[in-house]
Amino acid sequence: MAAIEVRDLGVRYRQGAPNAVQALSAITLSIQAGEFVSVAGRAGSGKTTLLHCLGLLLQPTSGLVVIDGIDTSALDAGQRAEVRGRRIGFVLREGNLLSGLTVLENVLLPLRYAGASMLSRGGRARARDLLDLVGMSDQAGDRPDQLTAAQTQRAAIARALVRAPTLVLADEPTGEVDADTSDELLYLMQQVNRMSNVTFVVATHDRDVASCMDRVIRIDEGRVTADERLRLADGRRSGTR
Amino acid sequence: MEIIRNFVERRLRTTLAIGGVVVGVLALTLTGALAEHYDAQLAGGIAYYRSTIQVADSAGSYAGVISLTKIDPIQKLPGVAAALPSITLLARPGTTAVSPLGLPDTIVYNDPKERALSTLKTTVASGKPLDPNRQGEVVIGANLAAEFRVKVGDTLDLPVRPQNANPDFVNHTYHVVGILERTDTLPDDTASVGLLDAQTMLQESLPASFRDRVDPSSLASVITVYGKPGTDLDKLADQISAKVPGVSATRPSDYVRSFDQGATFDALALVAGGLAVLFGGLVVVDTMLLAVADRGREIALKMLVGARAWHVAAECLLESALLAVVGGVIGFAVGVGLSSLLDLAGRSVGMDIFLVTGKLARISLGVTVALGLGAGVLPALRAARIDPDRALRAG
Repeated sequence: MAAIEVRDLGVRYRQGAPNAVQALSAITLSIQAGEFVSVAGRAGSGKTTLLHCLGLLLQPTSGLVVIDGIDTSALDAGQRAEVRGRRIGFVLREGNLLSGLTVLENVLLPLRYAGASMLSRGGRARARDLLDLVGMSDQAGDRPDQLTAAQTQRAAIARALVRAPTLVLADEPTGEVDADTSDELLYLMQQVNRMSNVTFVVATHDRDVASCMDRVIRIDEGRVTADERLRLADGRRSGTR
Repeated sequence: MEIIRNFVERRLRTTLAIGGVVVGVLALTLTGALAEHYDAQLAGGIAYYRSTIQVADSAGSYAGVISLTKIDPIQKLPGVAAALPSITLLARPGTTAVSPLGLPDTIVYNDPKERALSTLKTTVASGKPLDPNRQGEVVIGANLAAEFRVKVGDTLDLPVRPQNANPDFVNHTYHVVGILERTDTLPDDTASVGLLDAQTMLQESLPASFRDRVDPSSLASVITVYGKPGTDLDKLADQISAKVPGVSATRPSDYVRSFDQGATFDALALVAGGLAVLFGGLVVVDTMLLAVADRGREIALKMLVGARAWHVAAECLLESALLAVVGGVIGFAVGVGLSSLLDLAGRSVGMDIFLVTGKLARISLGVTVALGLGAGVLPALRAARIDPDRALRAG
C-alpha cells in the first residue's frame, strides 16, 4: 500500500483576492511505505506547502491527499489532528523544540496529546530509547537553549518517532547545520528508515542533500518537474525514471 | 510544569498580570470585608428590632424619654408577653449616632428578663455578668474593651467627656466587671449598666431646664415590648399606639426599614469590588493575548505533534486560571492582612470596620477562578484558531 497518494493537488493562497498566489498546481504522486524521498527545489518552489499538505497542516484548495489509505479530504480538523499525531512525525528546519520543556519532555510531547495512557504505557521508556538512538541520552534533562543546532535536530528526530509513525516529514532538517553535521543527520534518518521501514519525505533546496536520498521529486513553481529514483530501497544505485 | 516555566521565562509580564489580579482581589476583599462587617452588625440589630416593638413617648415630653408608668397599660394588652424598660445613651456624646462604618458606642440598660426573650444572646468572655441591682459596675462589649483598652478590674468613665463639653456635663466612674464575647453586632459596642445608673445618666443627659423636673427612677428611653408566640407584632404595635395614651409604638417592619441600608451598602461594595476585579481581569486578558501572539509558533508546534484545538485552548485557559488563582490567593491574603492591620490600628478610635468571613473567602477565590477562566476565553479561542501552516512559516 502507498504511504502517500496525492492526486491533482492544488493550493491557492488568498483565494479570490487580487493578489492570490497559486502555490501548488496539479500535483500527483505516490510514495510507497518505507521510501526515503526528497522533495527538492529552490526557495519558494512550493516544497513547504507540499509538506504541510502531506502533514495535514494545510487544507488544499483542490485535489486530495491519502495517507495510509485514509482520504484526508473528508476529515474535520480534529480527525486531521488525530491522523497527524498518530501517523506522522515532523522535523523542521529550526525552532523544533519548545523552550519551556526539557529535551525529554519535548520528546514526550506527542504522547501528552495522545492521552495519559500513552504516557504511562512505556512512553517514557520509549522516549529514552529514542534519545539513546539519536545519541542524546546525556542531554535528556537539558533545556533547548543548551543544545547545539545538531543536537536540537537529533532531539526533533527522536520526538518525530516517539509515537511510532509510518511517515516522517522533514522540512530542510539540515538547513541550519554544517556539511558534516548534515551528513550525520541524513545518515541517522536513513538508518531509522532502513531499520523501521518508516517513510521519510525530506524537503530540501540542497542538491547534495537530495542526492543522498533514494528518490528525488523535483518541484518548481508549485509543479512537479522531475521524479528520479537514485537508489533501490536496499541502497543500490538505480536507473532514473 | 510547562506553565510555571512559561511564567518564569516571562517574569515581568507574569508579575504585572498577577499584580493586576492582586490589586483587583485585594480591593474586592477589602470592600467585601467592609460589607460583611456592616451586614453582620446590621443582622444583629435587624433580628433584635424585628422581634420587638419599640414604644416611645408621644405626648409632648422631652424626646428620648418615656415614663415607666406606661408599662402597666401596655403589659395588659392581649398579645403582649413583656413590656420592659430600655435605656440607650451615646457613650461618646457629640459623635454621630449612625455611621456607615460601624455602630456608635452606646451605654445601655436592658431588663434582665430580656435575656430569655431577646434574639441577641451574649456570653461573658471574662469577668462576670452584670448584677442589675448593683451600682457602679459595667459589662462592656469586645469592641469597647479594645477601644478603651480596659480589662476586668479596670475603671471606665462614662459617658466619655467630649472635647467641647458643657460646663454642666457629668460622668461617673464604673468598675469593669465583665467583658462580652465578640458577637460582630450590637453588643460589641455597648457598655451595659444597671437600671439606676442608666436612669441617672439618662436624667443627666437631659437639658438642665428639664432635668430637675423629672424623677430619674421613673425614666426609660423606650419601652421594649415582646409579643406572645404567634402574635403579629406590626398589628400589636398599632394596638399599643391606639389604646395606650401618650405613646407611639413603631411597627417592627417600619423600624427595621428605617435603618436597614445593608442592600445598598452591599451593592456599593459589589460595584467597587467588581470594578477592581474587572481591572484585574482585563490585565489577564491582555497578558494572555500577548502570550498567544508571542507563542504562535509554539502553539503550531504543539498542533504539529497532534494537539487538537481544544488541547491548545485548554492549556491557555489553565494558564490564565493559574495566573488569576496565584494573584487571587495573594490578593486575598494581603486583603486579610491589611484589614487586620487597619482594624488593629482603628480599634482604639472605634473604627473596627472589617470582617473577613468564610463566605468572603469563598466568594473571593470563586471570583478569582471565574476571572481566570473568563479572562482566558478570548485568548484560548485565538490560540485554538491559530493556523499552523501560517504560524510555522512566520517563524
